This record gives sequence, structure tokens and C-alpha cells, in this order.
Amino acid sequence: MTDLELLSAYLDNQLSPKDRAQIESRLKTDSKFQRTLAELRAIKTQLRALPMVKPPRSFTLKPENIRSRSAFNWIPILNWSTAVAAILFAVVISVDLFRAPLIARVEFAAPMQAPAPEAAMKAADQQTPITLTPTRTPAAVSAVSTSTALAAPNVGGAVAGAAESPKVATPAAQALAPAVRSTQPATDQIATLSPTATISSPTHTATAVVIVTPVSPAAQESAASPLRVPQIILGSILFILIALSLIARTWK
Amino acid sequence: MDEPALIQHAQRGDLDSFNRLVMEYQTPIYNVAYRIMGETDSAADATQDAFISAYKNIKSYRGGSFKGWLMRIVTNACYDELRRRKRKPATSLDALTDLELNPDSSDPQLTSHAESPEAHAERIDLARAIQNCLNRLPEDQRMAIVLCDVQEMDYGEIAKAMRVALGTVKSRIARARAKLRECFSHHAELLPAEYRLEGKP
Repeated sequence: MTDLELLSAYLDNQLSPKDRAQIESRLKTDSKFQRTLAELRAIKTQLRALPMVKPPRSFTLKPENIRSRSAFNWIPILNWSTAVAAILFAVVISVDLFRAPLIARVEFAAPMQAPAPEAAMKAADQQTPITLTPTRTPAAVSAVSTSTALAAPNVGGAVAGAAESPKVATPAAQALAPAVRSTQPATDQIATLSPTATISSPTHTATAVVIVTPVSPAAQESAASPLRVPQIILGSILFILIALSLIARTWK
Repeated sequence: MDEPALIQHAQRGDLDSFNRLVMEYQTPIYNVAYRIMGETDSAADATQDAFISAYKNIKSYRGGSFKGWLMRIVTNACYDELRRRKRKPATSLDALTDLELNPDSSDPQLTSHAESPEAHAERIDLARAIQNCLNRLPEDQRMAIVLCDVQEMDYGEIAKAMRVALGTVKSRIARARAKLRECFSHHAELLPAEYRLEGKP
């Protein structure tokens, strides 16, 4: 303790007998110490001598006064609700962030699980009711490939499989191949998000067509961010609660 | 009716009994608020809030000094009022300006029919100078020194009222006195000769 703290506590009788004796001993010899004590005592005396201020009015309570003042206090509830909403929001965001690497792993693992191109083509051939003829123009074949893919994914797979097969390397099939390949960038993207991606392969365009056709843009959106709706709802609730808390504090 | 009986009745919801307690203690409670807040309006608000809070929580009173219990409540009310002031600093500055420029509005009390006009004026000046010094203290130190030297509460009661450790009370009071000592040295001419400080620390 500093000298000032010691003297202040001494003045208020807050020292132990031992400390008090030490102070009194020093006071006998130290004039500066004595003067400081006198000044502190003067301050204490002046404060105690301050006149009592007359209250400007009576503070007795009236029933209506208590009723109006005892209105429900929303501030603690708002504070707690805001805290809970913030925690939930953080949890949802965290879950979303943790899911992203998980999806990336699935994407990486998908080609490894894909069947060999030959096996896939064989399976597709067994389900293929379509035959391609050289009489069709390249444009017509391209249209057929698209329409069949939209109508029946398995059929689309067969068409694409035919496009890669040397046995059916007809002009029509050759014309079809670029059309199928043109869907490749989209299919690569979708394959990572669809359960059917396990049968896809970057080198096998047949399955790629199968996947791209059933996935609508809305479905892609929801698949890319499955927690978007909870995030928006919780974020909105959090924003509203923070605004209400600030308003309540301002008007308190 | 004695105080314990009034408290018991108030605890059963008797507002008249509680109001008799209010009339008994409103002057010291208002004075604490006034010395802490430094101006009349905020002090009145804090005092009213304190009595409303006391009535609503009187069932939690478990004996001991009723005045000390009220002091704790008014201290908290002053804390709340000061926090409100911080959020609205313009109000605070207005209040301080009002205190310094309009002394008659700040000290409605100091009326004694026994003293001369000169003595009364001197006493007003001194009280105002002391209050200005108090207002310059940090809030925590101001509360501690007001409870100790104006209300003459002991350190234990102050520690309870401010909800801090005894050592904290001790250091806050010492620091407050050190700052008051310096502030008083600028108003030496106002102090009575026997209490006049001899110089700056």
C-alpha cells in the first residue's frame, strides 16, 4: 500500500493493530506524513459537513406509479434470445462449412467407384432399345440424343455409349459424339452433387448425360447449399433481435 | 409503528406502510443519489427508481440495516442512471453545465434562517466547490467516497453496496481522497482556515 492508502485506511480505522502502531510511530517523526494525514482529515471533515440536500419532491409511491413502472421488462429476454439466435446461427454456418470438405471428398472418390467403361457400355447396351441409322442427319441425331436423354436417362446413356463404341461408329454416331461431349462441363459439375455420380467417370460421357438431364437449376442450387434456408431464417431472426435489443436499450 | 412492523406490512404488499418507510429515508437516500449524480433531476430519477425497486423486492429483505439495504439499491440505481447518461452524453453535459452555471437550481437545500446572507453565500460556494470536485472523480471512486464520508458507512457496508471486495473499497477511497486533495487545493480560499490544505501533494 502507498502512504496515501495507508493514511486513508488509518483515518477510517481500517488498519490492523500492527499497521496502526507502525503508522502512529512514523507520524511522531515524519512531518510530511503528518501534513498529508491532516489534509486527508480535512477532506473527510468537509465532506461530512456537506449540508443535507432537501429532496425536490416526495418519493412516496402511488399504486398507478408502481403498475406503470412494473411493466414487463423485455430487455433480459431480448438479450438471451439474441444470444441463443447468434449461437444457432454460428452452429448452422459451422455445419455448412464442415459439409463443404465432405462433399469435396465424395467428389474426389466418385471416379474411383465408377465401373469400367466397357462394363458400363455393356450394361447400357442390354437396356438399349434405340438403334441409330446413317439416314439421320447429324442435327437430327443430336436432337434425338437430347430428347431421349430428357425422357429416359438410361436411354441417353445407351446413345452416348453408342457414340463411343467403335462398333456403331456410323456418321450419325460420329455426329452425336460432339453433341454429347458438349455437355461434359456441366456434367462434371453436377456429378459431384448427385448420388448417381458414383457411376460417372470423366472419361465416360455416357453417364454424364444421364446425370445432367434430371437436375434442374433450382435443384442444383439447393444441392450446392443445402442449409441456405435455415441460414436465411436464422440470420433474419438474429438481425431483428439485435435491432429490438438496441431499440429497447435506447428507450429504457 | 416501529420499523420492523412497517417492513413486515410492506412485505405483505401494504403500500401505506412502505410509504412511511419512504418518508423516513427519502432524504438520506436522495442525498446519496445527489452527491453521486451531481445534479437534481438525475438524482430524483435514481431515488424514485430505487424506491420502486425496493418495494418490488422488499420480500428479499432478510433483516439487518434497512438503511444499508436501501443504500445498496440506490447505489445500483445510480449505476443504471450513469449508464443511461453515458448512452446519452448530451444530457450529462447539460446537467453538468446547469450545475456550474446555475447554483440555485443545484442546491435547493441550503437554507438556514440562523445565518447571515454572507455566511450563507460562503456555505453555498463551498458546497458547490466540493460537489464540483466530487463530479470530477471517476464514478466508482465518487460512489465509494460518498458512501464513506458523506453517508458515513463503514468499508464492509460499502463493499456490499458496491458489490466489490473490501480491498477495492479501500483503494478507491484512497485514490478519491488523493484526487480531492488536489482539487481542493485549487479552492483553498473557500475552505475554513483550520481545514485549509497547505499545498499540493
